[in-house]
Amino acid sequence: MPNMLTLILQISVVLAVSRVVGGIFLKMRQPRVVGEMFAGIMLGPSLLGWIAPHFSAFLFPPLSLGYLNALSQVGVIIFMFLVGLGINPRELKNQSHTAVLTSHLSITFPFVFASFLAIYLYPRLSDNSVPFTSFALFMGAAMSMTAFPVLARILTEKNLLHSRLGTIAIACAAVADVTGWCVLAYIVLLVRATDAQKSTWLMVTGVLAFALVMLLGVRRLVRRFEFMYRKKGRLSEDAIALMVLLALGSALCTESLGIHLLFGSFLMGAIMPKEPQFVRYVLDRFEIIVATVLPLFFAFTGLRTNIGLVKGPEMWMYCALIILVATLGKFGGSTLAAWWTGMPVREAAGVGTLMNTRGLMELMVLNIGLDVRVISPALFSMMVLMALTTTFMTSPLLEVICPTRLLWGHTSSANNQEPVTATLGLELAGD
Amino acid sequence: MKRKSLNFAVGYLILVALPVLVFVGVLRSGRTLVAPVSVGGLWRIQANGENVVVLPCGEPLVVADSNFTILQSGKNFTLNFDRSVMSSTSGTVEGTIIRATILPAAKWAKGTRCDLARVLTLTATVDSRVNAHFLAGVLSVGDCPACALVHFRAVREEQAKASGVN
Repeated sequence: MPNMLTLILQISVVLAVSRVVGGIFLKMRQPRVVGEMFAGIMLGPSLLGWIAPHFSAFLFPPLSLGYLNALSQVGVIIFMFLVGLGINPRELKNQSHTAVLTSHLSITFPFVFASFLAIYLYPRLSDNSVPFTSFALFMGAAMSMTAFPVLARILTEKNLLHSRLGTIAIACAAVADVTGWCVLAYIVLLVRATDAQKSTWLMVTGVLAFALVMLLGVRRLVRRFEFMYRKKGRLSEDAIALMVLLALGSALCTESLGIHLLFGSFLMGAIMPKEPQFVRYVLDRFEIIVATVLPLFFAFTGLRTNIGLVKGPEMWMYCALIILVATLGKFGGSTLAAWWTGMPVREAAGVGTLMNTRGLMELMVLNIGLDVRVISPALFSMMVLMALTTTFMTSPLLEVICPTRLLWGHTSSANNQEPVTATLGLELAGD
Repeated sequence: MKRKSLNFAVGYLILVALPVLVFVGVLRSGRTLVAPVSVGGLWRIQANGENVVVLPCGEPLVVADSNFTILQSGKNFTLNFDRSVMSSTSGTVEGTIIRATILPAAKWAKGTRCDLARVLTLTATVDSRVNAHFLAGVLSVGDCPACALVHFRAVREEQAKASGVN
């Protein structure tokens, strides 16, 4: 049984610190979620554990962390369900050449850059229990991620959601994330198949069969949620509970099949009906849960992040190299593709800047990587620093490279309906 | 319109298809790379407790039931003893040899004949297989030529659990 006093104290401290730091970041014109990510790191060994080791040990005794992790995982499962819900395949289908090329290049470039970096880092930061292929694929998947919700939040704040820049960035982020999660699922499957000495093909077949059942069968059934919503203008408590059950059940299935919990909840969200009002309603209903539990995930990530492991000039050089390569791959690839298809240079650089936002999606990916031991603790800490840096620099860099006033001329009038991704950004990524 | 489509096709070929081929090539060439031997995980020391107690500052190791956890990042690792009897310490992996210096934790040194300045050195050889299960080595005390070396073996109980804190 958990020590309830410790657990409640932990939750209270995490929520209080997250709100305070999130508020400070809002004043710095950063999304609140960026502040909450920083708050999580501050509560870990990198700051609290360093300046007040005894208090840190009292507040976060190692034995209590399992419960904090379990709570945060439930929140992340719900969050990934909502991220899947926010992705609308119809929006992706109608994209122009620019979006197609940019989204694909924003995946291939980071993968290529990451693979070269992997050649350098593998003998230095990994060990022989991790095959090079898994290591390089993971680095590629981690570097190709874009924080879909944070990006939507930034675009909403800057009133750029309906601009050409905004629609392209949102579509590309969705494609990048879906691809990144698929690659990640494959890596987790490979690693777990090796660990459990199971046949990879058997596991792949299981996962594919599950995906087919979801796409062809369950997808039709969950349409009933939308009918219910249309009929009454709201969903009953039972319907909401059933939705949570389905997300949890799907998560459980993917975990049992050998890939991570989060893939199941993401897939369940992705197959839900996409009618904008329905999606907005569901997001509203879940907002409070996610807003309360996500800081716990950031805190748990912070507790695993020890910047003290990045010691000495050599390690800091690796860290700087990771940030540089991640930025070059994502920013460079997206900018190049947008420019190639005819976008003005500054606007193309704006797309690149937005795509370079990694935020909490990256933290989720990194936690999975650490869980399946594809990355080492020091590399995990470096990658967390990379995620924080690339997320933090997005807003100011966008203002410098591509000021909002320059984009007014490109604002699209065709898309008058607010995409559901905007709501996702608003509700989940900040105030 | 035709020109736009051609531009897109050429762009796709050069900017997307070509990098994919490069990526596959890098993956293939990277397979020959050799990473440091894996030592991360929970290890249980199998040593004669009486010999360990004789070592200055060796007593806490017996208290810890002689378990330690290694969190490895390439050639570097941190080593944590159960119940925090020793300060968290760092070490290196060179080939199949691991080296770490261990300092006693202040709370355990009180009342014992352990001088906090004493440094225990752990040197061990790990078998070179992937996910090696055994290591064999010696525990020695720095600046103490009279102190005997304690030979030990350690068995890896499990790979490093990544769910906890570092």
